[in-house]
Amino acid sequence: MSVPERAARCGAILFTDLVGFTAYTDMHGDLAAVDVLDRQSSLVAAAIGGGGRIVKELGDGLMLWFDELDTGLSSTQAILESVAEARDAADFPLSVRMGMHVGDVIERGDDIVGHAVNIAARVADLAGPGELLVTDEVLRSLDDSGNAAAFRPVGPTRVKGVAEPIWLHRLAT
Amino acid sequence: MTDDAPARFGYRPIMVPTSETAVSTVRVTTESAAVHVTADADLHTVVAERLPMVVDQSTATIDSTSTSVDLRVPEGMDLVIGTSSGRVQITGSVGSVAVVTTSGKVEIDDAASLDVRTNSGRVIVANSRGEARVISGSGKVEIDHCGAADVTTTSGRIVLRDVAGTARAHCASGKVDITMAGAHDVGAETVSGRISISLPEGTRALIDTLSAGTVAVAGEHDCVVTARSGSGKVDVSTR
Repeated sequence: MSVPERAARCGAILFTDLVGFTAYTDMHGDLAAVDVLDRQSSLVAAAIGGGGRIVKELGDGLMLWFDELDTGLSSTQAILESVAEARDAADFPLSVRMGMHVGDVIERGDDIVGHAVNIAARVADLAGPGELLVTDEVLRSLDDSGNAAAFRPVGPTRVKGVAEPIWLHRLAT
Repeated sequence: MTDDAPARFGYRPIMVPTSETAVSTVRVTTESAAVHVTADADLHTVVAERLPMVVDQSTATIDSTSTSVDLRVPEGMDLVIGTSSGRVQITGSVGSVAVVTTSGKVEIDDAASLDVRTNSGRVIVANSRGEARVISGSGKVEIDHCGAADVTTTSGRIVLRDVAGTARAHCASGKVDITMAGAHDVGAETVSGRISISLPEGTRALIDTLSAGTVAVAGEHDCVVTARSGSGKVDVSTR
């Protein structure tokens, strides 16, 4: 069997996660939970416009891909603002937390796979409600743009399979 | 042990004089180890026994594979600690503290400010002179005194006492207890879990809860208290 050649693409991977979704589902039921997931998808899709794409849903979270880091960051800020506005208007019940990493991925149909994807998922796990955490690699990629000043250091974390610790930063709000 | 203490167990500890190197931050990364840092007012060096330490300008970095990291630092030292699992204990008075861990209890005596993130470990803080930011998955978070507080847990109880700044607490399923030291804004939210907020006597708070609606105060208010619980009781009181 021949293995098709696949080229790696470099870009930004973003994971979103709904804070308290399990407890919300337990209290309000499956139908209400599905409504929340649908609402999250529509809020995120509207916020990113054509700047990126939702790769797939993962439980109560989304995985997104951006060809350009700058676009990814501006879209992420738009998502945070959009969710905050919806919550203020009692139009969305939960907070969203997010994690971003940049790196190479392999496209597999509409999906993307690679170690960078695993790292981005781990980063999102450590974010608080309404917070964006990014890796050192994201910040290093921003050095020339001046956007790095908007981030504050958080600390190092370990990811299975990665020898070196991964340093995290949060978007200051 | 003093700064020039003799070597123990047949080896000599690594000591970095902070006055000569202007070390102000110690970074510790381990895969799976208990980390214990002791701040000592009489100490002028970073003392790391049996640990590899690299000093670069103002930062001393320890990347250890040991199962136990034991450090002694001068008071006021900033600490950045990352570990996969293992208890993190900081004794004495230190500067800003950042801890990221997957699991393991985190205990902090006295810090200028702190940012602690853990997936499943209890977090106990005696005093944070500035902001205390804690994000925990399933562990209880307990802070005896702090400036501003911003605490999130998924399923762990949140107990904040003597909060001397803005307080934010977010818990998916667990109780939230907040005792304010002064008239500062409070935001507390649970999906399912009781919320209890205690304000100092005489505080004129604009209270906003789902069950009671917005309770207006006559004249000016000192602070805004917002509490949202999906299914739990909300109790706002003065003492």
